[in-house]
Amino acid sequence: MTNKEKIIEELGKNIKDIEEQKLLHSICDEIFEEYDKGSSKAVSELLQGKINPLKNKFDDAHTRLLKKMGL
Amino acid sequence: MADRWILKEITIRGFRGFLKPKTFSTSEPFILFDGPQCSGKSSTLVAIEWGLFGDEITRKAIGIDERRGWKIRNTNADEARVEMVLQKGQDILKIVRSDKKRKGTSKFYFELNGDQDTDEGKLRAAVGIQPKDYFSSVHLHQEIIRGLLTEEPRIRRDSLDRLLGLSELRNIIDGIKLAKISEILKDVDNKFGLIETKLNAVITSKRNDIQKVKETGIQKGLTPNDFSETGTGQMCETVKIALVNFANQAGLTISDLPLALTVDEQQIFASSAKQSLRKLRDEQPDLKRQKELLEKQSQLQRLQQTCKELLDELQNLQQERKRIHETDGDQEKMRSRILNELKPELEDAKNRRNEINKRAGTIEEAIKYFEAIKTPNERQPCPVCEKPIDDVMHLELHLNELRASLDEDLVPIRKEIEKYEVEIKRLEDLIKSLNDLDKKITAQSKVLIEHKPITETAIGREIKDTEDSIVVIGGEINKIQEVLKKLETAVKESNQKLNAIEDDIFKLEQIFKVLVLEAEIDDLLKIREADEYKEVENSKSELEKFADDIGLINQAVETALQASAKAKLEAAKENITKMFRTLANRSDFPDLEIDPDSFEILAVKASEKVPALSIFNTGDLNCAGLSVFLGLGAAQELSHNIGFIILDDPSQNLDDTHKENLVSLLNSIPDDKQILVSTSESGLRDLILTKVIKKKTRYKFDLWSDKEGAQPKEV
Amino acid sequence: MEAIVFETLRRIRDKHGPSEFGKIAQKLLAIAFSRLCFEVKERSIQDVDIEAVKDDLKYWLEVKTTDKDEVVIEEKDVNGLRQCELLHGGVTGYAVLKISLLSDWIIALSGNIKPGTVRIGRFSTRKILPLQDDVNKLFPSIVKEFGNQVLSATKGKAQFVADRLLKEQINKK
Repeated sequence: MTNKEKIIEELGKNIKDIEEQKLLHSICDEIFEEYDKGSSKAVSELLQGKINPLKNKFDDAHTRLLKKMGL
Repeated sequence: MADRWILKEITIRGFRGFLKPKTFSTSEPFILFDGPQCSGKSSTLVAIEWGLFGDEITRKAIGIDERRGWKIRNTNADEARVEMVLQKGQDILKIVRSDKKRKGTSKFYFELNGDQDTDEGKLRAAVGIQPKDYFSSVHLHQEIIRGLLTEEPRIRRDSLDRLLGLSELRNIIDGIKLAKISEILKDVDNKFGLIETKLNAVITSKRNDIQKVKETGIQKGLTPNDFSETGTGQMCETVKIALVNFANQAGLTISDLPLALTVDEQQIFASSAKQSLRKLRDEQPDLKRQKELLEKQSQLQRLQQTCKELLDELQNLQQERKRIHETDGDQEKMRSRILNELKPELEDAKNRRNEINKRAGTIEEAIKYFEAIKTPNERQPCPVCEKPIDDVMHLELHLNELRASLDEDLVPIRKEIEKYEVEIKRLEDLIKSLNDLDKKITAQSKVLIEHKPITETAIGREIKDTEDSIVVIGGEINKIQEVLKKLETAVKESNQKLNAIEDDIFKLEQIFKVLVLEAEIDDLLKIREADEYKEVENSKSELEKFADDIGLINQAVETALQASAKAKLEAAKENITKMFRTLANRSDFPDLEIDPDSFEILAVKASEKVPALSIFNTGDLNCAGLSVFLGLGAAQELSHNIGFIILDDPSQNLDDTHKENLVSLLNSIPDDKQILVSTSESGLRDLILTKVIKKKTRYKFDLWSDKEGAQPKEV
Repeated sequence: MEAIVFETLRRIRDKHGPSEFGKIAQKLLAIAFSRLCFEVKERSIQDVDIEAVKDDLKYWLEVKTTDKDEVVIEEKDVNGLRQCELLHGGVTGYAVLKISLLSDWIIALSGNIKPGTVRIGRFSTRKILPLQDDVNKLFPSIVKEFGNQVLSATKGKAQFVADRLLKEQINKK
């Protein structure tokens, strides 16, 4: 069993929701793909590439909210 | 050896240490590569890797630091090329790999029983192993053994990870950690917390303002319960009634006050009521009258003051004139006196003086003459007749006596003259003063006359000539003051009424302030219903979800890593111990274990376990590395299709006894495993040649040269 | 949460201390469950804080309160919930409350929560709906109703007061 398969099996034990499983499998695929290209750094860059836009979205919303509150 | 791929032949050209093509026939179960350091032995072993996996062997993913920046092609070669033949039972696998593209052929292809393919994935599937696992179970690198010997737990763990084939999982965990998702979430928590902190600060500030306003209101007579919407309507009505009543009583009008049903309307009402109140206050009849009378009083008092000043001025002038008349008479009299009395007297005195002066003048000349003489005792000529004089000094003495006597006579005359002159001057000055006084008195009288109509206008009646203006004005002032006294009470009462209304309006304003502040607080708290807030919540949720997903994946990777490590170590436990016993042959701690949780290598004696690093020497640790590798290799033989293992310089740090044990161990490896060993140590070489019972092929490497490259010879 | 609710809870926490507050909050939460027509028991099995049963629904909840952005989940919490699930079925979860103006109860599934310090945000990704919403609709009125009684209790006695209030609520039914 490859490492990816082991992880997916482990995820399957804890996550029962099919859609959630699919999402996690998809992220796993991306992680392994990036890892094959460039090891840990590539994995970290992949994840940062996904989380940074979400963080920016939060920051923008946060700024707008503070403005609305007059703070 | 039928079930796994064994290496039959490998031809290497232009690859790393190799310049000219060299072919190794490797059909035998044991292949020995021996020769000095840097003679090309490792290049041979690496060529096998490159043949199987291509440039992947130089990637970071492999985890061998020394491979970074590796060159594949020999600097003097025009092509790096490896051709391998492997056999598994009846199957023949030929792999050709080059770093140069040739016309008509691919850089890489393989043929499985004559069928050609260029898909790397299919080759991997055929050999059944990934590059990372190759290094954990096929080719034992010295770097891994060195890693096991280190004190640094992270490096030990990494080396064991590679041996156990766990590097990939470990590196993924490291990569997830490197992404610093928890720090991002912390920042999000802080920013979200900032919203609340600011919200709290604003609310606290407004609450403090509410408290202050309430205190002010309570001082004015409100109770804590009054600060609500329930009583404000009634209070507005009370104010309205009071204003209207006052206006009616005073005969005044105010504009219609607006409706006051809601709090907003009531606030507008309060503002209008204030304006109406101001108007009523300003337009109160009694107050108006009072103001008028006060102004009038002021005016009359000023007039009275002016009158008095004018009159006083006239009287002063008249007094002054009278005084002069009394002492010296009028101008006419004074002129007469000057002319008829003083001037003649003066004339006479002057004449007398002049007479005396004549005589005195002559005597004076004579005295001067005698004073000028240098020798008074000599006979001098007379200044008059020039005849000699016998007694000059005597004469001088008589002259001085005469002069003195004349002087005495002059003194009173001079005084008399002065007296007359002074008196004449005084009288002339007095005449001048009297003339001025007359003019001033005339002017002042005119002013008084002109001022009279102003006063008459002010008091509203004529002032008779017989009447004293000042007293008349005073009388009018008194009348005004009497009226003012009566008005004062009325105005006071009105103001009290208006002040009471003003207080009520003020109380209302305090209540409104509190209600407004409370509404502002409620609005702030309602921020959770705002779209902007929901956006923040949603974006936070998305972040949390993503972080949670990665957390789950991380958990799964950790669990898989732990499980994998445990399983592999459990499966290989017996083999590892067996091999270690053979290799190290220690009497004190004969057995070896690896803790699957801490990845610590443990020396074991029955139930006692101690960290190997604390008691093993480097030779024992090398044995430990070899035991783990060979033990795992034996347990993992079902997981891939490679039928050979490669030991690169396995006897580093081993003494002769260990080397012998190693050779015994090599003999114990099952026959279906092809063994490739590379060594630069003659001791091991000799032991292998004499003690390893498997059939062998030996390649001896001569010294490497730049011109020839690696020079192996089959021996 | 409403300003008045936040103020009341904050004052209770300030007066009676974080540990006592946690237990009081647990009891007020239990009252909320009771008013939602759940049969409520505390620490019935495996020392789990709240057992709430209604028809087919069975919840086992560990209650956590904090004024920070994280809570500590202990081994015994995880083990207790796991045992309940294995032996008695139902849904296991955590009821987490951060005392802040912008927070309410999070009722979250316990799956995949390991012992250690856990950010509150993690619980929000696994909330149990509509239970969480129902609890949060009811909880403010419970605090307004009973908060002053708990607040005015002498130090060390607040828990007893809250306990009595819970028992009264349960007995009413």
